[in-house]
Order: sequence, then C-alpha cells, then structure tokens
Amino acid sequence: MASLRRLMLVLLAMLARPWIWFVLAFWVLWPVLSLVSHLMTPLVTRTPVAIVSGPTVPPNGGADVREDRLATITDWHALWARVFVAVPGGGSRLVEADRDRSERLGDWDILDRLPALERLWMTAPDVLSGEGWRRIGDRARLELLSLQNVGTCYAVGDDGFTSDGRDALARLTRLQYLELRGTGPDAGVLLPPLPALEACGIGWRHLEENLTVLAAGSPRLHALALETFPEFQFTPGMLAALRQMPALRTVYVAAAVRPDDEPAMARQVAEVGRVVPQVRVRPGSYSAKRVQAVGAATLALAGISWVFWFQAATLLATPLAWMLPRRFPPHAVWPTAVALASGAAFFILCQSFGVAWLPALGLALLACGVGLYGPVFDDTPGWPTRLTRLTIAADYAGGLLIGGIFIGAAATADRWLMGYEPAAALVLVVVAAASLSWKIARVARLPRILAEGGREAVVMWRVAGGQAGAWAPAARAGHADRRWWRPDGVIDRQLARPLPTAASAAAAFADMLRRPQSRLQILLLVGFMLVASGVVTALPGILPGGDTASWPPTKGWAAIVAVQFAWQAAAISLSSTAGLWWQRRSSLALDFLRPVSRRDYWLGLRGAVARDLILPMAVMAAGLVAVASWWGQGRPLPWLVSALGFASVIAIAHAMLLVIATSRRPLIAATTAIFVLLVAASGLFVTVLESISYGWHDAPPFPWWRPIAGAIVLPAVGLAIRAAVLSRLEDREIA
Amino acid sequence: MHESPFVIETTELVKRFGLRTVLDRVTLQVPHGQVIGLLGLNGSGKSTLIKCLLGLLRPDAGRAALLGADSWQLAAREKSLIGYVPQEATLYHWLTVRQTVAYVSSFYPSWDRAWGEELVRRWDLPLSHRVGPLSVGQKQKLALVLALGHRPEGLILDEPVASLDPVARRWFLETVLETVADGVGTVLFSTHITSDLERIASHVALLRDGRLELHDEIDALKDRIKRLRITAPTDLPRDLRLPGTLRSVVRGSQAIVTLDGVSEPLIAGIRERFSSDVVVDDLNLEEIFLELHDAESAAAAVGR
Repeated sequence: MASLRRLMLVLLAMLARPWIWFVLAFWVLWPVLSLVSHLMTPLVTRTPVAIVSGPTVPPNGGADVREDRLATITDWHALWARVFVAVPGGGSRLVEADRDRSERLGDWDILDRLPALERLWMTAPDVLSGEGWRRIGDRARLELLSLQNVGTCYAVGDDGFTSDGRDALARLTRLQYLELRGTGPDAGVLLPPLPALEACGIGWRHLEENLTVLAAGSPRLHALALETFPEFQFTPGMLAALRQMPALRTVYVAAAVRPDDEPAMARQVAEVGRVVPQVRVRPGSYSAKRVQAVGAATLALAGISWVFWFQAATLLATPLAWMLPRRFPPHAVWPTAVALASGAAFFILCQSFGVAWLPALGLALLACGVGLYGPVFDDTPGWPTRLTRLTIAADYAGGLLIGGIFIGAAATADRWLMGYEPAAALVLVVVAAASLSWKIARVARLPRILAEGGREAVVMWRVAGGQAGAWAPAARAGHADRRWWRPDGVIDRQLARPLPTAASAAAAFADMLRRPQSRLQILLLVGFMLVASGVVTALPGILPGGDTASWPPTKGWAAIVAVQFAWQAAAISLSSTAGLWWQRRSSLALDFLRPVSRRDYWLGLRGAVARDLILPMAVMAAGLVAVASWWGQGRPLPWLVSALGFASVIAIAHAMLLVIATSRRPLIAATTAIFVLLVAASGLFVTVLESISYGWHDAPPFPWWRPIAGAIVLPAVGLAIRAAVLSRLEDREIA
Repeated sequence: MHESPFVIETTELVKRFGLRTVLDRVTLQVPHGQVIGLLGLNGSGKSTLIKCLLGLLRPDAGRAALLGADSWQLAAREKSLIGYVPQEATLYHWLTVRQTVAYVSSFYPSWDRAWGEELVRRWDLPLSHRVGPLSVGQKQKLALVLALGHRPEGLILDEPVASLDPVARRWFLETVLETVADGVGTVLFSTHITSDLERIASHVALLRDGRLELHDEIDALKDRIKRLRITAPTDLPRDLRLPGTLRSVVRGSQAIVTLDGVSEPLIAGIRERFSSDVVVDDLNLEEIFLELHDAESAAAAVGR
C-alpha cells in the first residue's frame, strides 16, 4: 500500500508540472497528428523503386521556355496534361495542352527545339504515340530516358508500341539510363542492343527476350528493375539471362502494388536471389506511406518517452532526491511504463503496417532512449563519461542515419522495415538496447554526475556568449560554473558602467565559440546540420534504389543542398541565441542596477537581442535569396513573398527572444516562443513554396492568391506579435 | 542499528577538482549523540566535505562513511536514517508544500506524520502554496521539515539557517536540540553563525584550505584559548615569545595576546617575567574563530 502511494505521488510530481503538458502538446502532438493522418488513409499503393535519377528541373522547363533557351537545354521534364483525347468512332488523337499561352508551342514540336537534350523525363498519362517515339528517337544525344507510367495512345491490340519503341531506342546509342516500367499492361517494348546502358527498368511483357538482349548487348548494365505481378513465374530463360549479365550488381523485383502482394514479391525476390547469389536482389517497390507512418510513430514515441524520462531526471537530479531511500525505482517505473506501453503500441502499429519485428524493436529502443542524452550528458573526467559520450554518439549517428534514410531514401527504409536487412536491424537492437541501459543507469546517478560537474539541475541546453555574454556582469570566457554571474568585486566594478555590448555580431558569436560548453553544443549542432544535410541529400545518390534519386549532382541538387544548409544554419544559430538568452535571464536584474534608466535599459536589451539576431537572420536571408533566384523563375512574386515573410520572421524572432529572456516562467515561455518561431518559419517556408509553385505552373491547383495572402498575413501577424510583446515589456517587473 | 561507534567518519579524506585540492587528508570522527559545528571560511571545503559524506562526490583518496557505511555505497537503510539540508534547497517549484511533504515522506517508512505536521505548523508553512513562489527562507524551512520529518539518526546541515528569520532560527535550533535530547541524534552543522553553534553544539571542527585545523569540544576550546591583556611598567619587547601565541599586538608597555593553551603557571610566569599585570579575557566562539584566522593571516604576512 505504501509502495502504491509512493508510486502515485511520484506520478503526481511528474504530471503536476505544467511544462510537461506544454511539451506533450507541442512536441508530441505534431508527430501523433501526423501518424493519425497516415492511419486515416490506407496504405494502398506501393511506389516503384527508382533506378534512374528523378527530374532535376521544373515541369516543362518553366522560365527556360519563356526565355527561349530551348536550344541549350539539356534536361527536360515534360508534364503534359490531358493531351490525348478520344476520337468519336474509336481511336484517339493528340491535342495541345491547355497550358500557359506562352507555352502553346505544340507538344512533340518542343522536342525538335531541344537539340542539346541529354535527359528526358515524361510523366504525363496517355501521350506516347508513334509520332512521339519518332521524335524521341531523333534526340540522339539522350543519355537518360524515363517514360515511367507514361500511358500510350495505341489502340487496344495495336502492337505498334513494341516496334516503334524498338526503332526509336535503337537510335539512342548513348543511352545509359532507361526507365520503361508502368507503361501499361499492353505496352511492352522489344529492346534493341543498347551498349552504353547502365540501368534499366522494364515490364514483364517480352521479358525473356529483353533480358536476353540486355545480357548480350549491354555489358555495362549494373542495375535492373523488373516489373512483375504476384502470379508471375520466372522462366528458366529469364533466369539464365540474368546469370549472363557480367556487370549486374542489383536487381529489383516488383510484384507488389498493394500491401497484400508483398508475400508474392518476397517469394520472387528469394527465387531470383537463389539464381544470382552474387547480385543484390531487392524488392522493386516500396510503401512511402509506411515509411512516413513509421517515421511519425517513432518521433511520437521518442517525444513521449523523452518527456517522462526528462521529468524523472529532473526529480532525481537534486541532492534532496539523492538522499531519499530507494528513490530510483519509483521514479523509473513511470517513464519505463510509458515507454513500454508506447513501445508496445508502436510495435503493434508496426506489425499492422507489415514491419518486421526486429526493425520495429530496434526503432522502439532507439526512440525510447534517444531523448535521454540531455539529462545524462557528462563533462567530468573518467571512463563513465567517455562511455556516455560514446552512447550519445551512437544515438546521434544512428538517429541521423535512420532519419536521413527515412527522409531521403524511402525505398531503402521500407526494405529495411520489411525485414530484408536483418543484420542491420540486429545491430540497431543491440546498440540501442546497450545505449538505453547505460543511460538509465546514469540517470540513477544523476546527482553525483551533477555534483562532480559543479551543476545543480538538469538542463536541456547550455550555451553562453553572444550579446548576452557581453551583457553578463562578469563575463569570463571558459568559466564552467553556472553561477559565474553572481555578485563579487568584479561585478561591483562592472555595475558602475553602463550596459555593455559586444563590438559586433561576429565578435558576439566569437565570444560564444570561446566558451567550451557553448562550443561543444554548437559543434554538435553544426555537425548535425552537416551530417543531416549530407545524409538527406547524398543518400539517394549513394544508395541504390533511392526513390528520390537526383544523381549525378545537378544545378537543382546543389540548390537543394545550399538551401538546406542555409535553413538549418539559421535554425541552429537562432536556437543557440535563444538558449543563451534563456540562461541569461536570471541575471538581468543585476544589469538593471547599472546606471541606466528603465527606458534605456529596455532599449539596450532590445538592441542586444537584435544584434544577436543579425547572424541567423543573415543566413536565413541568404537561403531565401538562393531559393528565389534559383527556383523563382525570374518572377517577382517569390521575391516579394520572401521579403515580407522574412520581415515577419525577424519581428517574431526578436519578440520571442525578448520573451525568453524576460519571462518569469522560463520553460513554458521558451517552449511557447520556440513553437511560435517554428510556426512563423514554417509559414514563411510554405508561402515561399506556394509562390514558386505558382511561378512554375501558372495555373490551378496553384492559385495566385495563396502566396499573396501569405505575404500579407505573415508580416501582419509578425508585427502584431512584436507590438504586443514590446508594449508589455517595458513596464514589466524585473526579477 | 549500525555497529560503528561513529555516525560520521572521514579518514585521510582527499578530494581534488582538477589541480586544486579542496580537501586535504581530513580525518574527522563524530560519535553518536554529538552535535558538531563545522566552521571555515568560504571555499574552505565545508560543502565538499558534506557532499563526500553524502556520497555525492567520490573521494580521490581516503574514506568517508556515514553510520559505518562507506558513503559511496550508501544503502537505503543508511539513507533512511540520515537527514540532509543543503545550502540552497533545490525543491520542485511546481509542487505545493503539501504535495512536496507527501512526496518526500512516502520514501521514509519511519516518517512521523504528526511530527511533520507539527514542524509545518511551527514554521507556519502555507500547505496549499506552490513551492516556486515561496521566499528563500520559507523554502529553507520546508527543506528542514523534509530533513527532520523522519526523525533521522544523523542530521547533516549545510548552512541551513542563513536564510531564516530570527524567530525561525530559534525554532530551528530548538528543534535540533529536541532531536538531540531524544538521545539518538547526531548533528553535523555547517554554519557561519557561531552564536548558533554555541547554543547547540558540543564540538567544533575548523576547516582551513581543505585541512582540518581543529576539532575539539567547544568548552575545552574556550578553556584553552584566551586573550591576555598585559600591562607593564616599561616598554614590552615586540616579540613576547609566549608559547601558543595565536595573535600578539604590542604597543609600548601594553600588549594584547591571544594564546592557545592558557594555564595558571603560564600567567604567573608572564607576571614575573615582565613585572606586569595580566588580565585574562574569555572568548566566545566567534572571537576564537576570528583569532584563529587572524593568526593565519599574520603568519601569511610574515611569510611574504
């Protein structure tokens, strides 16, 4: 009975803290909602694994068309809407698409104006005709041709597609990447010898003939995707041809469109794998929906688990808690119970998605432990510290790699989830379990860790410096004691001077970097930025079977990387600034004792926060300029939207940092402020994308009013928030 | 019950932070039922000693023990017999006073509910108020309730009364005396308020630069350390060369000398040697503390 009462009181102590509800609402609700939205829509279709890079240019070339630079265009992504209509009395004919007037250039005629074309992606339904094949065949410099899911205009029973396609492809002697899957059950091309071919996707029709031709005429072929159906049976001739391909490294076998077909696909993968053991044989389709749903569920599990472990760590961290007899078990029960219950729900959810148990277990263990790094972070000498850092590094690397694969290479992620890589899943289970066990053991010793490190409480974030550092009464670079600002002789002397400021934003940032703990945190975040960007952008190119492959690098790819870097750098810089003002808030009262009036004091504080914003805002501005200039199609709307939205983010960021610095309820204020900032940044991001999409398409479903509305609403909201904060700030109490 | 005769015990205890030695071979033994005051300047190592005793810090050498058990390996049994009040009470700001008391009390099988309620009432703590907005003194009172409610066998107090008002301080001292009067209490009391120590402590330990400079009964200390006012008919030598001199100020024919180890024969000898009058002043604990540190300062000055 006493034990039960103790357990309930510990739970009360955890749940009575308002902050826990804020965090649950802000950081857990989002992935939960995302998961629910995924659950509301069934996991219907599977996506074919890409074996050639995806389009790297806007559909139809956008500004390139307007600027009449077709003769120099090397990449063309044709998105022709409804150009094929039925003809009364049977058959069909091509008509011009209802596109922007400036682009009413004729459909296949455009190809004639592209003499430099090297890569062609066509994604429109029902466009491919004999005429189309002929025009495509004329583009002799083509190295990449993707006709995936392009329907044909041939009448039922007309076998012209087979021969027209063969004639056209025979003229494309430079062709390295060819994608012909999804052209419909009646369409199948008889491939000619293609000596330069390296990757190829073909359907089941004429498969044996095509595999024989590829084995004999494409010696460089290393990636092959075969589109099959659940009842499909490989013939001995097909399997013999596969054995005769000298450079073949990877074969994708797709038998599944619906989730129910996955067992048949697994059977075919195993069958081909037995025939060519030296070749990687993998599923040829994946469920992006499953990857997204499992990703959201993992985030939700990590968030819930982190919240309860952090709360337990907070309760356990004090010297008071250290002296409580048998203190750890009752505190560990609830986060463990929550993690177990959430983990079980996660596991059941994964099973219903068709996820194998080993990867599900690995993800659950990783998610339950990844949030514990903050409480157990240790900077005292000794092997436990080194081991803790090793586990944190393992979580960090594992989380990044898995997150990067989930975002950037969904096909690989889905294959792993389906259990095709049991060794990798086992490694994750072992590493995550070991890491979680060690961190829980460290949580039990938290007061000792804190005492040895000269700390008093668990914190999420520890940086110092910047303008906040310049304001600090006794800024001493590298001082580890969190109480460094407390009154002493140095402070007395410093208080006699007016409010100090760092010489410049760069000097303030340099000050932040001089402090060892700040430097460590920033390096971790910058490392995260670099690695995350690298993983997300490079994985699709590095890993075979990336579904969003954009490889080799192109101008578009470079833009994506640059913009990702800019956004992440801005986010990291902003969060660092927020973190140090959050820590600085407790000593602002001392600054108020300087010889300044209340008005000057607030103006000084506002100025210092504004100067700290220069760096992150400059980085964000650079990202916006890159977005608008690279993807804006030369139109003014993305520039206008970017400028107005950016002004909104500046206003909101300034106001929120002031809230963080001056709030008397810092955790709730910081959580709310960061949430508002995230919403503002997301609003800017979405609005800018809307303006770009409008520039690309000039037509529904991208109406003009949405970016315009965003451009008006964003700054209005931003300025209103800033005005509301500033109006209340000057007269508030300082404590 | 534990088998060791000492409730609190350190043996050649050494603790370093980096290159700085904070505790230097400290050996201290506090037997059952003793109230010992721990004195020392800021940074002398008092809190570090207490943290080593509680097992929060691992000694670099030597041993710290509570109730006979190694401090680094304190088990639940020992912890349930110890009460601790830190210098700054780190409590859970979002809980109410009632919830905090209930939460902490649930960990102690021996929690005396009536005694806890009595302490809360005695210190006038608002049960329904959240801990966060309480004043520093109120938080300290709450920390004292949490440390005393289970009637601990050993009580470790790290400057517990600095934030208390005079009334609360008196109540606190009386409560500690009640605890000791039960015959089971042992108290280690770190404080700068020496008058409080004089009221409740039987012994005193003095830490200086991490070393245990002195450990004795307060009464014996007072008997031993005295201030002599010497008045002679002629000028006195600048160095009187008296044994056990802690501090000596000579001005012409008058001198004020603080001695460790004053005895009747010594006084008689001074009278005879300098043909002088000698008046012996008793010192209180604060004066002794100051004299000891003045002696240290004087020695340091001579060294320079």
